[in-house]
Amino acid sequence: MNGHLTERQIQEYIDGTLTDNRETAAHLESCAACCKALRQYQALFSALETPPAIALSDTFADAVMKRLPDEAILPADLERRWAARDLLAVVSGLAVMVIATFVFVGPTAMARFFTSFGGWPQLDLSGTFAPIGSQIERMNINPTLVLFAVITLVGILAADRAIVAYRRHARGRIFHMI
Amino acid sequence: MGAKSATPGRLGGLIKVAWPMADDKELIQRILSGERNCFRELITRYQRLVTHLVFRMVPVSEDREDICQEVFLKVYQNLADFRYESKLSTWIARVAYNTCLNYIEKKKVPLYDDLVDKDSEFEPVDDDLGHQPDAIAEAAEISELLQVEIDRLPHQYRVLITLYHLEEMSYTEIAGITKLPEGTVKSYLFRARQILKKRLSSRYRQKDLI
Repeated sequence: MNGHLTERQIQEYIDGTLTDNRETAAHLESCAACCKALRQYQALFSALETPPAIALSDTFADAVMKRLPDEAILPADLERRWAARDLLAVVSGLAVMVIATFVFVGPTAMARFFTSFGGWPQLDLSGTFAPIGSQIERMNINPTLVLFAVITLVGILAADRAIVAYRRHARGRIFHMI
Repeated sequence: MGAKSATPGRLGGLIKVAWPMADDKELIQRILSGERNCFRELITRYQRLVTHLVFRMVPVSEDREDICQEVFLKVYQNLADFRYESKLSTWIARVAYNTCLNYIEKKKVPLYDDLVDKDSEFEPVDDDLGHQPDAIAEAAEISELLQVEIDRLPHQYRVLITLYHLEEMSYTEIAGITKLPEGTVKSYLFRARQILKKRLSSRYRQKDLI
């Protein structure tokens, strides 16, 4: 090796990241100036690992604990996912309601449904929805089944809202159960 | 003396930071499930890391404790977003670093003061053999001088010195926290140590500590 080691080489030697350790070690054996620089850096590295005398007040943890918010802590993406799911539930519910309305206003299906409740104010929408109503009638859909589906979906939506409300007020206890 | 003996703490540090991972996971789950008091344990575990970073980055001593509190509040509020992709210590350090950066930007503290010539890292060492260098680490005064000199470094250098030497983090972890390329982390660390060595040598002679 010609001349002295660079400061970078010496730091990397101490750090253990120097690629050519053997040649460097051999040079350090024979070069007093580089050996001195090495010892200076070794002393510096060692001193840098000594923690400074700094400390927070004794009441630091108490102060932080007092400032913690009461609300549940939930991941931001979970909040977004839940919001998206809520929206999907609302849209799905509305879509089913619209479809169910189409089913119910089908001429025969509507009459059969309302008759089962002992009569209902007659809405003459058959003209508007007649083509769809006829189509649904041909599919022979049971209106009671549709009503059941609507009630189920509304129930799911309500349960979902209840879970969200519980999560917000119960500081996330339900979070790990879902 | 072997080259490695100068940094005995790094291996010890690796062992020290490896074991809390399982505990950290359980601790996080308990906090998330509503056991707020478990957060006190998290504060105890990482108070030293946050304190070191904040004290090294924030020059106004009156603001430091408030910023440490702010860091832990952010940790609490965002804990559910921690994905275990890094150590909890790395994640908390990143929260602390970003909080301090926001503070520095608000207070208009200069960020990147390049104090040394980049080419100086490739200059060979000089031939001066006049002083006993080992005394640097031995003298208590030198330790105090070192803290003073660290405080005089640009904040970026102070952060890197703190994370690498005090918190014993790897270059990769530091790069993840500071969002600096690994090569830049190494270069800044090199320059920071070089500055410290030069300044300490100079102060050491002035104070005639031997």
